[in-house]
Order: sequence, then structure tokens, then C-alpha cells
Amino acid sequence: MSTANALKVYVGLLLLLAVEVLVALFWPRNSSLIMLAAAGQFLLLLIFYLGLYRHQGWVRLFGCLYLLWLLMMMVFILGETATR
Amino acid sequence: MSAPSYLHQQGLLSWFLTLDHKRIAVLYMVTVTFFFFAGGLAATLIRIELVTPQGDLLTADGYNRAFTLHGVIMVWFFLIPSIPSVFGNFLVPIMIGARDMAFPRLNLFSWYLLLGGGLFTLLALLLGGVDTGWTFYTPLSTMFSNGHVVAVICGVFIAGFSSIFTGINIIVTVHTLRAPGMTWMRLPLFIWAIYATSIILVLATPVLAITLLLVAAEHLFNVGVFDPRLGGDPLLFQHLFWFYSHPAVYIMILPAMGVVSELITAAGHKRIFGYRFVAWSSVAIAVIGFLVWGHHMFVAGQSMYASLVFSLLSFLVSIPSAIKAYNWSATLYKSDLTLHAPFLFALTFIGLFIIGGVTGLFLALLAADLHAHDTYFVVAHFHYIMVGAAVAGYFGALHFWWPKITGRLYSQLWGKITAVLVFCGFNLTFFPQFLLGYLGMPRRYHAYDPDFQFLNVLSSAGASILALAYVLPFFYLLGSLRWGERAPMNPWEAAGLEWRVPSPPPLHNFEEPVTVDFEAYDYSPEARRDPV
Amino acid sequence: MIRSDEKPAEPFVAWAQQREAARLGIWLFLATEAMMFGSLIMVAWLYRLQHPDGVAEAVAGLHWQLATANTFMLLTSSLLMTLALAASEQGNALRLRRCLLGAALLGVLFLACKGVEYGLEYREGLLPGFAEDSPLHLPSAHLFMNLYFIATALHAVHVLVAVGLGLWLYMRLAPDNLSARGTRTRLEMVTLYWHLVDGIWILLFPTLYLVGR
Repeated sequence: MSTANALKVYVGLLLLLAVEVLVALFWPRNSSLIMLAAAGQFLLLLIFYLGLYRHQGWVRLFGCLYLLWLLMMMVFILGETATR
Repeated sequence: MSAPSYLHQQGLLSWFLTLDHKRIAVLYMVTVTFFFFAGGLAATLIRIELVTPQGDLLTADGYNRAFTLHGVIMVWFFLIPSIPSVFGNFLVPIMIGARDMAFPRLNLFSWYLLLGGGLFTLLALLLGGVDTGWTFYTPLSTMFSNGHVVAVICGVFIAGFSSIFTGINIIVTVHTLRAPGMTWMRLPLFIWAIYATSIILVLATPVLAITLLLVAAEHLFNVGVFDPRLGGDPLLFQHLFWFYSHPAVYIMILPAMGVVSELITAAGHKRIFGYRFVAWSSVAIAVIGFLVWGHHMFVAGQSMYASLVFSLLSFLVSIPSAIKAYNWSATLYKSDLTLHAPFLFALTFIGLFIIGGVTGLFLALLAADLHAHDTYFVVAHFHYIMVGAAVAGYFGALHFWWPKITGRLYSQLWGKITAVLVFCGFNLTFFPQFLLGYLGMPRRYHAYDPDFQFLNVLSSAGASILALAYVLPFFYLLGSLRWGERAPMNPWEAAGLEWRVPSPPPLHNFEEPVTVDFEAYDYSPEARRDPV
Repeated sequence: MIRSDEKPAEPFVAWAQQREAARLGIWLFLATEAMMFGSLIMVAWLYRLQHPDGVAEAVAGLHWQLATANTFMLLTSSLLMTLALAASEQGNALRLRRCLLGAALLGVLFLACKGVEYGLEYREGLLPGFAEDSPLHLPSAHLFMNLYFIATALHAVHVLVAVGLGLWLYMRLAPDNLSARGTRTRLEMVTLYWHLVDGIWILLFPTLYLVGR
């Protein structure tokens, strides 16, 4: 990853941080917006800093499966408590 | 003269500081055998107590501590490490044509973690122990238990890292160290099974880690995560615990299934029927096995909708297991069968696994589980799988690869006697427990209704036969080290790279780098059996 | 390339193979860490959804300014680690060491701020076990505070490990150490670990501090 690109990602991360904090301070009911910004930050980190963009094929598939399955775990458990 | 075997170098430090995967496997073997007998002693106490309806040998609290010790030791310090850490470590590099595992130092460290965690846990269990059952349900474990909960949790937590590191080692080894020509579809099915197991080890164990951490924090600091008075949810513990522990039971059975694939093909001198199906079924069991944990919580107050989903998924997870059983049977059909001792264990596995698996389906059915939950029906079901099948798999592996590991042959007669005793003793011990559960005897009770006594006596009688059967190998296997005939390279005329290196193998497994140009289970007449 | 007698570790036969194995190994380890913290974050969200009022009370008392500063520091340290890796690929040893040191220092600063935050909370009587003097009224607020402590403490331990690894690398990559092939792989592994520690905080920070103020 070149220095220029690393800096671009960094700026993106900081912008999303600013969005999060501002929304939390001035529009506090919008938790989904905050978490979306956080998810955006996480994806930026995952794809660029952790370098997932470099991997193709099986690795990408397994990575997506893993994240999906983590999501499933959360959906199952949160869904169970919500439907009790 | 070929290179010296891996057992050549002597001295304690050559064992305790070894980086050789084969020596580490032997270290694990000794360790898990020790824990097997420790857990077995607790089982003996339990079965002696249950001969009479009254609680006479142990107090109620003492009985609780006994079955907790039995469960904790057997699950975490015997069953989970048994086949992956012993036979996985020994065989994975050889089967794929590598010189060692990917991370030899991590491998040795994993063993120390298991040993340390295990000894620490055993100490805590013996110095008063814990009365919560191996399942540590809250709020008993967090608020009311007056045992050494945190100490036992620490021991299990440490051992969990042994699991995780072993899993990482195996996955990386299989990905990066396969010999040229060893494609995925040429791998022995044992490798597929161990690989799937390792995925579960790596992904499920961390959830156990955080769960145990939360229980310890709650026990020490009253954090409130599982305490309704602070808004916590005791059922959340069960979700987190079973999210790990259900995949954990697949950790315990998948490697044994891999062993059986090896044993069945070697017994019948025939290619496995449906290689791809058996290979992918291991992966399918691992994947679907992560989605069924709620079937342990059907009567715990779980949402009905969640229970429905979990019930359906639990039915689905039986399908890949059934595929394996059908494929093994098809492999045996019209095969050139020779029933040496290891293969008797393989047949034991198939029969007992089917009974255990089918009774699991009874429990997956919501309406039936309502009556069977927390009765001896469940106890019988999981012992059929974990003891009847998994331990038979372990013993089968022991008897099959013993000549390779030690370079000695043992008495086939005694091996077969042991196998038969295991089969008879096991069924006598655990089949009555299905009936007891059906009749309504609850589990984890040290005193019971006198009407149940006859079946309990049968069960305890069976346990004594089983105990004898488990002790016998000590004599003829250890005896073989001294008096056994030297083993040839391939005593079973089996296919596989491990049977084309000397018994025992040299230090780096292969004299020269291996190239693989044959399919798995190549039992055709032109197949090469010469040393690589 | 300078010819050296350095060989890849047993049982690898090529550097690329060893690097590939190390990469896969560290990714699997990251997956386990993600499982662990993922479960913890899920537990936090579970209670957030079940007890919105208690959570709001607890969150109102949290020091979000310090935490925001901490987030900024961690994000910057991630940038520095990425730059360190880029510098190692370009062969710029001086910039590599500077970036490593900078990242490690930011990590130490993170921990210091966390310590200050914990100190403030101790004084406010919010630590578990001080429930009698606590200013919180709702029991679920206590629960959320305790979860906050567990999650941030566990994360802080991971930051400490990351800082330790960074400093160790800094010392291993001394300017006179030319044949640093193995160390370059280690740098990549430590960078990955660092990014994960950052990634966990990225999700933990809004979950604990921002939502439901």
C-alpha cells in the first residue's frame, strides 16, 4: 500500500469518526447512522489496511463466509431474545 | 543404513524440548491417557454410587462434584485433544508429505498449555472441586456455587488456547506444506476430517474463552451479565456456552470419523466409496454444526421460534453424518475384508455411532425433547457418541497406527478381545440408560426411585467390563514395546504415505522430498507400495 | 540481494512458503480474536436493546471526549503501522523505525488516557464492587458500566501486547541489522495484529460511548 493511498484511507477514517461524534452529539436518536459510520470505518480498515483487497478467490470467499456467519450468530442470539 | 528413527535420541530433555511433531504426539498421548483415567475414576465413583437407590457412597454435593470432575476432565482434557493432538500431530505432516508441522515451537507450546491447564484444573477439582456440572450454568456458577469455580475456569481457559493453537497449526500445515502433487482431492480423508475439526477449534473456542471470562468476572465482581437483578440474562450464558460446546462435540467426533475412513479402507483393501461426498461431509458437519446450539436449550425458556429453527437445523446436521455411514458401508460391500483388531473398533464405531446419532434425532424433535431433556436418555445419547463412537475411534487409531508410532507389533488376539469387551461392556453400560431415561430417571441425581435399580445395576456391571477393557491395552500395548515383534513398514498392506516410511519413521519423515502422483486409497493391483 | 546464510525455518523450503504460512497463521489468530470480541460486542448490544434507559444513564456519565481522543490516536497509530510496512517494502529503514516508534508511543498514550479515564471513574464510584456509593440508579446501568469495564480492559490488554510487539520489532530492526528477512515477515504480522486491535476499538467505541446518549 503506497503512502498516498494509506493517507487517503486515514482521512476517510477520520471523516467517519467526525460523523459519528457529531451525530451522537446533535442527533442522538440516530444510532443506526452511528453504527453505519463505524461499519464503514471497519470495512475501510479491513479492506485497505488489513489488505483484503489484495486477496482473491477462495480467501475472499472464506472471509465473506466468516463475516456472514458471525452475523448469523448475532442474529440468532439477538433474535431469540427478541422473540421470547 | 537409513536415517535413525525419531525415537533414537534419548534423555528427558529430548522429549520436553522436542520440536518434532511425532514426539509431541507421543507426549500428548501420555497426557490424554492420564486424564482419561482420572476422568474414568470419577466415573467409577458415579457408577458405584448408582448401584443402590439411596445416596450412600457420596453425599449429594459430593456426587455433584464427582460428575463435574468427570465431565470437565473427559471433555476438555481427553476427548477434545485426543485424536487431533495425538494422531493429528503425528500423522498430518506424514500424510501430506511434509517434514513437520508449520509451527513446531507453537506445537510444543500447545502441549505445555494442555498439560498446565489440565494439572491446574485437576488440582482445583480434587481440592474440593466444583458442583456446577461441566456446563457451568448460571446463576449457580456465578452466584451460588461454593466451589473453586474460578480456578477450574482458569485451567479450562488455558487449555482452550492449546486447542486454538493446535487448530491454527493444522490448518496452516495442510494449506502450505502439502507435497508437490498432493492436491486437495488426493488427501486422505483423515486430513479432511482433521482440517474441518481445526476450523471448529479455531472459531468456536474463543467464544468459550469469553464466556468463561464473563463467568469468572461475574463470580468475582458481581458484574451482572447473567444476573436478572441487574438486568442480566442467565439464558445468555447458555447461548454463549452452547455456541462453543455444540461445535465442541463435533470436534470430538469428526476426527474419529476421519480415523474410521482410514480404517475401513485399510480393512477392506478398497477405495472409499464416494470420496468427494465423504470429504465435503466433514466440512458440512463443521458448518451446520455451528448453527444448532439452541437444541440444548429447548426447555430453558428459549423463544419458541428460535427452538423451531434450531430443531430443523439439528435434523439437517444429521444428513452429512448419515452420508458418511452409507459411504463406509458401501466401501465394505464386496471388499476383501480382514478383521484385525483396529478394524473391529471401526465396526464398533459405525454401529454405536448410528445408535447415538439416531437417538440424537429423537432429542432434536421438540415434542420428544420435552420429556427426554435432563433424563438419562440424553446421557445415553451422548455417551453413545462420545464413548461408543469417539473412544472406539481413538482406540481404533491406537491399534492401527501403534506399529507405525512405536515400531512394534502387539498381540492381535488381545486387541480383538479388548474390542469385543469394549463393545459388550459399552452396550451393557449405556443401553439400559436409554430405558432409564425413557422411564423418567433424571440425570445428575445421586439417589433415585427404587424402581430404577435393576437397570442401574446392569449399567454399573457393564461399566466394570468396560473398565477392564480399557485397562487391558496397557498390558499388551506397553508390553509390545519390550517384547513385541519389530513392525514392518506396512503391516496392514494399507495405502497412504505413512505406510511407505519406516516404522517408526525417521526424524524428518522422508529421506527425500516426496512427489505425489497417485490418488487417495489406491488399492489397485498396480499401486506402488515401495518406500518413498 | 545480499546473499546470506539465512534459511527459512524448518520445515519450510522457501521464504515465500514461510511468509505464506505466517500470514495464514496470523489471519486465523485474528479470526479467533474477532470471535472473542465479537461475542462481547454482541452481549453489549443485547443489553443495550433490552435496557435502553439504564444504558442511557450509564453512557451519559462516560468520558466520551477522552475516548474520542483515544480513537483518533489509535487510528493514527494504524496509519503509522501501514506506513512502516510501506517503508520496509521500499527499504527505508529510518522511516520504518520512526513509524514503528510513533505507533508504539501512540499506543502508550492510548493506555495512559485509558488509565486517566479509569481513575476518574474510580473517583466517581463507578467501579464494580463500589455499588453502594454509586451515582447510578438503575441496576441495568450498573450492568452496562461493568460491561464497559470488561470490554475496555480486555481491549487495553491487547493494546499493551501490540505496543510490546511494536517495541520489540523496533529493537530487532536496528539500523545495523541488514539480513532482516524474517523480521520483515514479523513486521507484517504485527501490523495485521495492530490493525485488528484498532478494528475492535472502532466497533467498541460507538457501541459503548456514542449510541443512546
